[in-house]
Amino acid sequence: MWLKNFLRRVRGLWRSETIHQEITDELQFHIDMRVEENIRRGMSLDEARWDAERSFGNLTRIKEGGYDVRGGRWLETVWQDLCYGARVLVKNPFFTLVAVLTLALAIGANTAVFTIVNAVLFRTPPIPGIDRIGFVASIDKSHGNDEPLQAFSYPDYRDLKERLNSFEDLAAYQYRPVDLSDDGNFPERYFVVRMTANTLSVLGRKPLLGRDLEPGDTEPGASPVALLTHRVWESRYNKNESVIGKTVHIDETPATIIGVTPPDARLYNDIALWLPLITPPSPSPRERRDLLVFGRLANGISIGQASAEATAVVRQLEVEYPATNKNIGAEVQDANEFHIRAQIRHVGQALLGGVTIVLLIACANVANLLLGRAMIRSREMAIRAAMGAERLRVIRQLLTESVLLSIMAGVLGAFLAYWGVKAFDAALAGIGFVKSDYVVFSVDRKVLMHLAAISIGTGIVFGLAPALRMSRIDLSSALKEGGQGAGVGVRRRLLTNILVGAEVALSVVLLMGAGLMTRSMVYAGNMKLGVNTENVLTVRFDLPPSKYQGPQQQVSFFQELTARIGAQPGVEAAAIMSELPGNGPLRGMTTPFQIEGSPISDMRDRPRTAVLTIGPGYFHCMQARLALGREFTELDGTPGHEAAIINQSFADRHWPRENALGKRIRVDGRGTEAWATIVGVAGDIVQNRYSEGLPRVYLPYRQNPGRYLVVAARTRVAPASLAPAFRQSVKDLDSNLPVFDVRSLAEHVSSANYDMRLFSAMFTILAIIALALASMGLYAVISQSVNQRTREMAIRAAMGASGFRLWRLMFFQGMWRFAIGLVIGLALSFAVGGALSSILVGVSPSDPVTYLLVVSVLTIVAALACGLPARRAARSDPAALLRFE
Amino acid sequence: MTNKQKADLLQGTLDLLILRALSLGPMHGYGVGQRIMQMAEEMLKIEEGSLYPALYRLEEKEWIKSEWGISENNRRARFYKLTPAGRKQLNIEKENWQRFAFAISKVLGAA
Repeated sequence: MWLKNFLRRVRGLWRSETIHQEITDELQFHIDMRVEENIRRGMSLDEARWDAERSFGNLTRIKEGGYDVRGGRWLETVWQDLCYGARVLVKNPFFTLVAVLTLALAIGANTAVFTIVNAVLFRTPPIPGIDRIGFVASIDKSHGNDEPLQAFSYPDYRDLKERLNSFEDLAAYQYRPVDLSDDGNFPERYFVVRMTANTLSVLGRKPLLGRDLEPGDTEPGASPVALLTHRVWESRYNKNESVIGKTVHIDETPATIIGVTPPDARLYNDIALWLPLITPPSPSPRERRDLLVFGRLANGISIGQASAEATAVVRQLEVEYPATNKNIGAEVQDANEFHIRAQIRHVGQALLGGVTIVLLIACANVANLLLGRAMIRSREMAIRAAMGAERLRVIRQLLTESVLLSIMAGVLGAFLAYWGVKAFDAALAGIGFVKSDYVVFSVDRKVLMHLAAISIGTGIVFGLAPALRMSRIDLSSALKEGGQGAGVGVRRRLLTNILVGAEVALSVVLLMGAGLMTRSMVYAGNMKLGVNTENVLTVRFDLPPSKYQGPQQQVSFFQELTARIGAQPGVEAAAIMSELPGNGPLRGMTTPFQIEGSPISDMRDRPRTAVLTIGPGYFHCMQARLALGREFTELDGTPGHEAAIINQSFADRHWPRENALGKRIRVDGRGTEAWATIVGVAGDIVQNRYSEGLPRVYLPYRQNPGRYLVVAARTRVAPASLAPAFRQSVKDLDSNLPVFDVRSLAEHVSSANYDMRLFSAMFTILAIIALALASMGLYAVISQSVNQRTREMAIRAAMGASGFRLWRLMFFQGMWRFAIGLVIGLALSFAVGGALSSILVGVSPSDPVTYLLVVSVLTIVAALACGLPARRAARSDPAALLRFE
Repeated sequence: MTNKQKADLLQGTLDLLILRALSLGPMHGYGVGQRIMQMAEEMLKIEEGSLYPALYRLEEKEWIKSEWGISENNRRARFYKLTPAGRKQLNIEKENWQRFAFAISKVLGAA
């Protein structure tokens, strides 16, 4: 019905002549009939005609009414408005250019950021039916729920599975790296999951070939099996179906391939193999939280309902197992919420907020430009009104013009956005950032809708206020020659003032954001790590557990390797460590510990500390300061020689006025239960940007060995030149061991803060755009005001006002508006600053230096924007004005 | 009662009369006016000034549709025809009107 009408009107658009003619014909027929009738009744021809036409009244109006229905009046006026709007824009090329460029910049930035944020935050991995899958996240309530723990222990998982009714079924899995080898192919390192037998059925997938896991496969002692994902089946086995039943080696343990999954069977992260999660022997410790739990929501149950039930169930567990489950809460989240770090989300939201501000500033700017033209067009508007145009019709015409502007800007902005996203992608690739496999910065329906919405929406937003203002015309005064209706002027100026104030306020907010981010970045970049990062080559290992099962094998491997690397020409010293300074995991783990002689009242509430494992010669190799005591020796960590080194922050916190050397501590779950003697106090070393000043305990690697360790060497030559020799040393020791990540420490450290650099760069770009737009706005307003008050200025000059006085008058007129905007902006930044706090390093959201800096930059820019146009007022020449009049 | 409401009431009545006239068969605008006049035994006269806007309005609502045809005196004329939707509307409006007229006569009778 609607469509039919519309189509009829579109047709009407091209047939408007015919339609007019048809209506005329129809009415003519009527008149003729009436005339005939009248003559029959005895009227003269003239009389008959006059009577026939009189009975119609306003014939034109009837015709137009018919045309409205049959033809395309509505559409035709849109078309007329568009043509007229286009003519107006073409006739004012400078205005059009400035407005379109301003908007295009803002729409482009907005679309680019939306494209990126959309890909990262809003797009879910292609898991069929993912909207019905809920992830159960555990929460450490004692640390707030901003960064949840997420994982559950196996017994907790069993309890959740049994008690939760909101889920059809619950599955559990863990991501792990493994080395896969078989005859015929090189050994390769793959990312896999170990999962409960029901995982694929919870995902709603069945193997393409072979069989699914069965409960028997997860029993302890079951013969090891594996399923291949479609990707690996294709890339490694060329889709060979005979692969089923084949035996491969996973971390050097033989396992039988029992199936291949279809391409759309996947978890959040892309993996290569599906392996059974062997049920741990009961009772299994509840504090070992290493399983991610998810399930298919029961019919009609929402995430919120499931979450409420999960909260209740874990509360029961808290009561039943207080020793391990106290303060452990739970929440059910959707896939994105569960997997995307809160910090990334905050950055994304901050960026979206930033581009929205830029867009609003651009709107305010163009609205001001339009208002400035209101004066010029007031006569046009008055003539339209005098010709009988309704106000609504005039508003529609003006809005058509502004939407035309914003759509042009949208098209240009789309190109800018495309270019911007490409640049961002290149920047990411440049710093070696690996995105999730399904994150592609592409234009999808959401991006297109967003672009369309902001392109049309901005036109209405910036066009509406000026259109309402311009269409309210006082006919008599507007039509007078040069009439500058005083009433209209005051109102218009108020609107202009509000717009300029808002622009300034919004740019303050953005500048503050950019300033804080930049300060954080500078701070993180200049952080004194406490080590010398020059000339250090590092290599990471992950020893396969089958070959390096016990601590003994691990220790001897690393001991031997350090010796060989240390003996190479060009190497000064080599050492082992569990993580590199400056590039540690951002979310560090802490471990409970105990100090000898200080009794612990509540075992559940013990103090916690960050723990690092290092080998002998670590501080020498890193050229780090040892304030007291000595390094670890090869003897430390062997039974009877338990030792520990603490950092200065640890010493300051626990022995503020004592010598810590010789005191004894015990760190939980790290090898032996024996007391470790403190043999050294080291200067603080920054492991990552959020860990400055964190108390830390170093344990000798013999006491706390592991399969994942880093070997670093202080070199006398450029570190990169020693990489081949490094690899050779490893190969000599174990030819099957994959070596990865041979990089210099300097590279590691610089890549650690890439995200800060990227985000502060993006914020700075946005802030500069905002500042430029806002100062353009101020400039335009003052400049217009000077133009409008030419006569007044000339009179003032004639009365003896000096040029400086006139300049000052105009200058402060602008600065006054700026000051109000500034104050509002500062208050706003103060209010929203807290949102940034999780991203910032080393500065508080209310950092006085940033505030001062932003205020000075803005004041200088505003002074220029007001001062320059005000100079014209100072040059007012009464004589020139007289000549002009 | 504002002017607008008064106009609506009259319009509604005119629409009903036109639909009724067309329910007897397709007819051109002039004929519709004539037909109503005859049916009302010359007691009602439809002004052309309101007849055509009413026809266009009904056409927009798709209660009637129009096409060119040949008039009784062999001239090209625009003929209007009731659509099924228009026939339904006629019944509704007829009923409404009868109820209204009945109510009015009750009131007048009671006075």
